[in-house]
Amino acid sequence: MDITRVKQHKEDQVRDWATLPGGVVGKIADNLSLYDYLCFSNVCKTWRSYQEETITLHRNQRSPGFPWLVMSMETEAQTLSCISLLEKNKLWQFEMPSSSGELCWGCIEDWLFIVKHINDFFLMRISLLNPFTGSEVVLPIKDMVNSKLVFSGDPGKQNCVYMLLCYIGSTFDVWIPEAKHWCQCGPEEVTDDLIDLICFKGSFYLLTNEYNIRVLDATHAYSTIQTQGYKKQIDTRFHKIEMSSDIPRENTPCIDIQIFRYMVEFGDGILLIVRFLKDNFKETYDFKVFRLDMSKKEWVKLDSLGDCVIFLGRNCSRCYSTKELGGDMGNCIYFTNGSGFRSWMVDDIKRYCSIEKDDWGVFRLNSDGSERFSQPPVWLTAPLWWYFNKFRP
Amino acid sequence: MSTPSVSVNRVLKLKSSDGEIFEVKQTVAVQSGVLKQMMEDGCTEGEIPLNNVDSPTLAKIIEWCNKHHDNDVEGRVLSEEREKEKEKEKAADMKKWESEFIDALNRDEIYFLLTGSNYMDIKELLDCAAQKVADMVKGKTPEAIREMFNIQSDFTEEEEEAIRKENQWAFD
Repeated sequence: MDITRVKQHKEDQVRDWATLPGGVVGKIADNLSLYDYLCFSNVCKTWRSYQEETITLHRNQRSPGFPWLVMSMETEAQTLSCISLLEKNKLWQFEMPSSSGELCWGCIEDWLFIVKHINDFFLMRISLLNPFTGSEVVLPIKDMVNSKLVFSGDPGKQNCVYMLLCYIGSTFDVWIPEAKHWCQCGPEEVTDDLIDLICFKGSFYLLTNEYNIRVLDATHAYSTIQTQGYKKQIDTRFHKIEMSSDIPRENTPCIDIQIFRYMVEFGDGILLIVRFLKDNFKETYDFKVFRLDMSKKEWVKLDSLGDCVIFLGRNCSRCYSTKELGGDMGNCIYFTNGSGFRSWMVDDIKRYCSIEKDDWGVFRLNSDGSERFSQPPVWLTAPLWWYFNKFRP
Repeated sequence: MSTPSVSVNRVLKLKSSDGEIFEVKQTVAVQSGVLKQMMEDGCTEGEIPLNNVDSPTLAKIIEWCNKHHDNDVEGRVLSEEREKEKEKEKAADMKKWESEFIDALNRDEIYFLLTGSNYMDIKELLDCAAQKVADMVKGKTPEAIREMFNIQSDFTEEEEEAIRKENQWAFD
């Protein structure tokens, strides 16, 4: 049989890519990152029809979406400028609907966390604004000593539980939409300060200064407040966690130990990212990563993030897989300026910004340095459903 | 032997959609799920019509299958000699051959290879061709993909409008 002679396909043969069999389209899609997959499935109706099942799956499982950077942090600005990390040369402009003087403190998934100073008693109006849906959730007024906000579910829903972490000491506040005020909580005996907070699988996890964990089940918190009111103290479950690595436990600039600590949901567990800074919290020079082993009650040091990439944010950090994003971002930590200023007071922030150095960039684990950019932004998650709708024919 | 009807010397006569006959060893043809099933069912006498595969494509498919068959045979000998290093080398060589094979094809040829390997159920070849298309698609917008494959958007004006309205509040 002669297979070397040049053969030509007949000109009249149909080569209609749109009519490729479903199995073939599926095979191609299997080799694409989630982002490329979305572009691919919006090419034509036939290709999209083969993907309906997968698309529904992604829509339903609260896929994280894709990372954006919110660039403008000016308190007087009426627009927020957002940059997508995946789409080249794409800038999204978002009009802030309310009055000026508000501060976009940070992001929680696809929500902007906005605070506004309302009077001289250090009281702040707190709200969540979703630029993708236009929804706004207004939370009860709170004083300005709080630093971090997380929630247990969908902020539009009635059963969503909110937790606010006080940045000094060991107290936190819990709120449910039915309650008038925040329910202030804290351990009976002050052991060590609370450092960070995340919501993981329906429970709030609080990290203490000594690397221990306090856990509060969101449904438990909800029913306690619902039945007994917001004045009732809610207890957390304390877990002593071993931290064998020789890393500092305090932020003490005077003896040159300067760290920020962040918890991040990572696949099926929780990571702790320890960020090392110098020059009075102005310059990041190293990261160490630990995985929480709840059965052995210890933090296990990780040397690699595998194909995962972490975006460290002031209020909320996210972990993505390169299977979702594509590209060669794996094993990297993308960071922005740390929580050097923790006060919500506009004047304090202005003062801080004037002396703050830009400290944001990319850090690859087990490498010597980090690439640097030049503006201090925060991370926002563009939700997947929005991407499904965005790709226009 | 799971497939007693397969013998080393016997050949199958494959007939392409444009009527050309290709002779293929049975041991090579088993890579096609469809042909393997036919052999097991004992219905491979005479010409086997492959109505969805034209002769240039069938030639390419057979070139692929022959190459992979040769590699398999040699591979078995080597593994008996426990020359695992060489086996690895072989695998790397095969990867190189595969990428050269695929990269040499133009867009039309890849299209026919996709449909042909899908029709004949040759998993490895389909995977390889699908990977190639995925690489072509990566980082491209839907518009760019349509342009590349000459696909007309068949979303209606209404659908377009609905999407636009949904997004109006944000960013548009």
